[in-house]
Amino acid sequence: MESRKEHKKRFTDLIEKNKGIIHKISLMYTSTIADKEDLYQEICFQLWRSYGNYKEISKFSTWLYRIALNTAISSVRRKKRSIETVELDPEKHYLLKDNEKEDKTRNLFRALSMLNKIDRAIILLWLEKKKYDEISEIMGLSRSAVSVRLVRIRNKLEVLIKKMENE
Amino acid sequence: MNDIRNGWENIDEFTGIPGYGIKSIDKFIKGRSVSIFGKIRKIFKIDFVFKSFAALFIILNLILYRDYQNILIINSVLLGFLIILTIYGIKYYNLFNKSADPVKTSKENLSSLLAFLKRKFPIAAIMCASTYIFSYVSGILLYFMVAYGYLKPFTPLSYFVYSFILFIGMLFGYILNMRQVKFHINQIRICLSDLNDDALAIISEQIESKRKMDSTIIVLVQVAFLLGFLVLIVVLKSILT
Repeated sequence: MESRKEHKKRFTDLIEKNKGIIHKISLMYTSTIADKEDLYQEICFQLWRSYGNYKEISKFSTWLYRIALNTAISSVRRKKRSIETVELDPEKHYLLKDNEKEDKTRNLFRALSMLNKIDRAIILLWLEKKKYDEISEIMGLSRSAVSVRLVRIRNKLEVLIKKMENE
Repeated sequence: MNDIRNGWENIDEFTGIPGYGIKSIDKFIKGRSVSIFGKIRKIFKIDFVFKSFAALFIILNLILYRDYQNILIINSVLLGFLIILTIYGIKYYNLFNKSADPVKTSKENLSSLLAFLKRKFPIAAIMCASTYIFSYVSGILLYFMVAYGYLKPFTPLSYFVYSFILFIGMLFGYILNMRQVKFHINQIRICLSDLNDDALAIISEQIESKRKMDSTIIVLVQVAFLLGFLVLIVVLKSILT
């Protein structure tokens, strides 16, 4: 029987291992650094709340994506803040040295932020190389609906990115 | 298409990997939820705290007013209703936790949330607002006994003022709770219509088909509380004047 301390340790290790994806989801659904941190914290909180009932029958990644995306989709941006907010402007936060790569990533980031919450979730899963079956299992859509939606979203993204490149 | 994926692979390099370590994660999970779910849970939890205070006041009144038979009856009735309300409060709280469970698929999660917020939350908000009656009436009775050592007779003006404050308190509590979820309901509707052209239509149809029954329940609950409120005022008036 696992003690509470071990249970918590196992959970924090899992989060530490998957912090990249939680970070990406938080990034995609917020526009300021403060909101991003709030969402990151909220996702960790919701994952911990559900971790006690996690049954290893389902894939860990499916479980994690479901909770993280549902939390992100339902999140509402804070309207007022007592402290000053910092805009999450990709142009101010780049770390890349390669200019061409940097431009591509910046445009992708901007284009993604123009999609609606559901489309962002679907494309994020595709970008994370999830199979159509897993995407449909996470979102609750049929496999064919996922495939149709993905074609539409990718086309939309390509148009948006091209438009940005021509600007 | 590959460009999009290549761009995505550079995201970490582009924005930096978060510096949150085990210690931060540990802090996050000990923290409080800032989401709408956290806020709704907070509404229920605050209501349970107020109910506990009301129960404590009523029990103290039962002891302090043991020589006043009328007040004993009122307090016993209040305690009985409070217990019933608490049972229903717990039932609705569990129902909410089930609806807001994020482990479900996005479609199920949004649908069950919308159904709860549209169908069940108005009743839960009325129940939460009605807690004010219990804490207010028992609090006033307790205050009189502690401050004066006896039941101070009410003047017509004070009787009107106390009733008005009680009514305004209930109304304000109800409106405040309903306003909290109104914006969120609209957000869920948008997400559901974005998710699938049929998803919103189907869930709306399901909600509508049960809405008649819900409306009847909501009206009955409101009438019951209004009647209870009026009876309480009349009884209090007859005792306190």
